[in-house]
Amino acid sequence: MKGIGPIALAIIVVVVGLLLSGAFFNMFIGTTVIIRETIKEKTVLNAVNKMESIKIGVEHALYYSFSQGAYEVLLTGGYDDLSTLRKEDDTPYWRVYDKTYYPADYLENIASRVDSIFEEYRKASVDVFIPDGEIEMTHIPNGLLINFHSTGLLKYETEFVRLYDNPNTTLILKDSIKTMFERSREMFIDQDSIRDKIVEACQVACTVENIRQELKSLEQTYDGIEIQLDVKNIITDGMDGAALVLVIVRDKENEYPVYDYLSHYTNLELRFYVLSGTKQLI
Amino acid sequence: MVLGKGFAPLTLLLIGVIFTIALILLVVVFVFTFRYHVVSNLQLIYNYNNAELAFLTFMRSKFDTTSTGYDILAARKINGFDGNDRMKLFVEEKLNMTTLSNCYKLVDSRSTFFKVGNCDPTENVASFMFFIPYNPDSLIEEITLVYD
Repeated sequence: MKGIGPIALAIIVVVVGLLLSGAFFNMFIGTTVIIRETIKEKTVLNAVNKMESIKIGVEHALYYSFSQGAYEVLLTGGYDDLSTLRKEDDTPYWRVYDKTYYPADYLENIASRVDSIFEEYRKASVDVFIPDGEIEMTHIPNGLLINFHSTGLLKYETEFVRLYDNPNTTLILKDSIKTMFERSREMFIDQDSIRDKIVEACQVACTVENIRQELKSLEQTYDGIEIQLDVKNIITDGMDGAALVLVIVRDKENEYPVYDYLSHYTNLELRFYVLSGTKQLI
Repeated sequence: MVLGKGFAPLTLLLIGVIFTIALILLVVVFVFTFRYHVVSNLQLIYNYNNAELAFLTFMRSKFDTTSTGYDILAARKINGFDGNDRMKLFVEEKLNMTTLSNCYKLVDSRSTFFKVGNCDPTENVASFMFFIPYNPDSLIEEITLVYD
């Protein structure tokens, strides 16, 4: 047993050294591993949360696109392209005496404009990729259905995580647009209310003032929709008269965020001209 | 150096004692470092995740039949948020509830536009990109929630 002392001491030193260095290595390596894992977990959670925020955002981008698109197309009488129409200051004529130019595909025109605005939002998205898709708008019994659908996927990609989700989004809004167009069609396309009023006025006295008074009686509020007439011109000739009227149909109950050189909330307005009368005087 | 016969049992005892202490130390160090890192890791993830979840929950909160917390913040430059006490109260109530804090602020790229508490929060941070009402100059902005 003589030699056990120094050997034992050496073993003790080595073993204790190994144990302690093991403990410290465990601490440092463990710290590195845990930090790396934490970063990974944070990245995954961050990706999931970012994706969720964009899914909420897509609904809002769709709503803002609709607001702006509907605002712009309604101001141009329900048309997306006025190049082939008679117009004044980008407001089209819906009626020129017996000829009518009702935008029967107004909803497609609005959807087309909404689609191009939504495209701007889609491209503005940072971090999360929003795929290209289509906007569809449909009148349904309880409102206006706006649907963005795509065959692609929302995508978020980093070094540690790649996340995909369904981008399809649907909004159901109060359908004041249908009322605006249908009421306008009833009054100025199916019937020629302007001509009818000129006839009524001229049966009493065919004067500019009398016709103006009669036309004012067409102004009304109908199911939250206000119809205003801005009479631009009236010409009379004996027992005949003709009038050029700017019709403004306003959704009084809802305000939408729009940009018109300035961002603000406003009511949607449908604008179109009606030129009518008992004789082509204008 | 040569140790005498009488030292052998003492040496063995010493070896045993040192081994035992080293082993206990090893276990204690291991358990404490492991616990420390696990707790800090969980705390970090919990805090981080909570800030983002609190903000997401706020975004979904209904302000009225047509708008949410998201709308209020996204459209704040045109919806009169600065002068609207009802909106501000809504934001305060919802963020009190979701952050469980009375010290927080909302920040955009320019400034702090909403702050609660006489403090300067820094601990929990969550930033998200918000789509804003149409404006050809800008369609998206980053809003950050910071709370302690």
